[in-house]
Amino acid sequence: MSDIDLIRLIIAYSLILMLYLFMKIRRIQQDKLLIVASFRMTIQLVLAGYLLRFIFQMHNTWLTLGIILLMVTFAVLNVRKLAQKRLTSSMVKSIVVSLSTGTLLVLVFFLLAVVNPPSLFDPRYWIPLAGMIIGNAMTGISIGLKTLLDNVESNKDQIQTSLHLGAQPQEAIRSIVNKSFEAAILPTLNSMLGMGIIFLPGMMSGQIIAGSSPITAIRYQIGIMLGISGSVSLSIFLFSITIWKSFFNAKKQFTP
Amino acid sequence: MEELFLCNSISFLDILHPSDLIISTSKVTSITGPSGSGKSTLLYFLNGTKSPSSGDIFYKGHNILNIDIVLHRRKVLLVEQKPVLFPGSVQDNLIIGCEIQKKAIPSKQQLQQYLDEFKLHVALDGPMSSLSGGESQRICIIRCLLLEPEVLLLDEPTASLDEVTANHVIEYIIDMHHQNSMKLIYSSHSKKLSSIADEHIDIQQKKILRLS
Repeated sequence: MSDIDLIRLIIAYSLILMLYLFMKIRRIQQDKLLIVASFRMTIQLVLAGYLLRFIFQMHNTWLTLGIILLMVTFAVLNVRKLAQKRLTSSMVKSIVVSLSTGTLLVLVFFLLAVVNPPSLFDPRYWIPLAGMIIGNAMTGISIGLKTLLDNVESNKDQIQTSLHLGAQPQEAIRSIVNKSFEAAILPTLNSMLGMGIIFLPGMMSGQIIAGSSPITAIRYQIGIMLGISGSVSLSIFLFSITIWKSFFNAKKQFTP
Repeated sequence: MEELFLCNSISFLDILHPSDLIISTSKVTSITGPSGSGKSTLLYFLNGTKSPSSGDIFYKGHNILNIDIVLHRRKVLLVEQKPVLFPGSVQDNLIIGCEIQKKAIPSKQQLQQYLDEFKLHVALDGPMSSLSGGESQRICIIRCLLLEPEVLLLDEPTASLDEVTANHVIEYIIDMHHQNSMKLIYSSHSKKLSSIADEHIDIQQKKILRLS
């Protein structure tokens, strides 16, 4: 694979410069964010690059495990931040349980049963795959949570009335939880629909540029897509069977 | 006089009722008081969808917190002041309670009978969106009557119904009360409507008064 040398990488920033100038001319507000975003992207990736090189050289199982747990923690914090509302401790508990169980179980299954790396705990496989699986599950839970909170807010009366009519709490909120499940899983399904035609996924492009045969690359890509759908659906499933409790108290009263 | 509900030194909002408040089995009970006085809240306590900040509610001698609260709500049904509708047709809205409680779905004839009885000239398969507030309110009342509760709680039936219709509805339900011994408790700020009841609870200046 041909390496991109530093000068050529700097040339690539001219594209950001172009966007910046366009924003300035049209007086579009987000010019500051553009600068911050490009700067952060650069710093974060450089750090990630060196960190990954260090982790790969160490080849230490505990270190790998620690990094994966750290990724899950950041994912949970991110979901909390993206919710833009104050979450109750019961909601946070549901997010932690669903996100960690859903991603870790699928990750272990996927690596052992599907990828089967030559050296079992090789961080070169675990870390990038964990990143993709956790990242997608995080987006799924985020969308699911947002849809759920919005729909509970706009369907308060129906939930309360269902209780008046003698519904169990989980029945009273079921259709709303199901809607949020759909909203959460839809982006993953949509990306599967367009894959290979509308766009080539980043991982597959990367492998092809790095010299892998496209046939090897698609095998990985199909595998990872199945892994991602698996972890998104398992996380969202766990989320939907635990989150309803957050909206009711022990007396089965609705406490939105 | 047999007691149906016993509210044991309950307090809520700024209201404190230090003694026992009894609602009897055989009578029709009205709860009166100015708006915001806590009439609705008291009704919500009776079916256990809300709880007082202190004190206990007993139904037929059992503390409702110690029995299966969902089963209790199925016996003591509450019709809210503001009609709450579900997506779907008039029929869907009538039978949703039966679906929730997994009871036999009433036949179209039965539903039609109720519509006629309540002077509702609407099509069973018509959309709910075309109904007025008063019509929707009557749909919500029928929805609960179909479930044959032991107690029916009506929160401010006059809020969405005109006085003539409200009177008609209450009288019809009182008739059912005589036939099936279904207990009726309703809140109202209309003096005229509350005069139909034979047991009165009045909330005035943060005090609950029981007037028989």
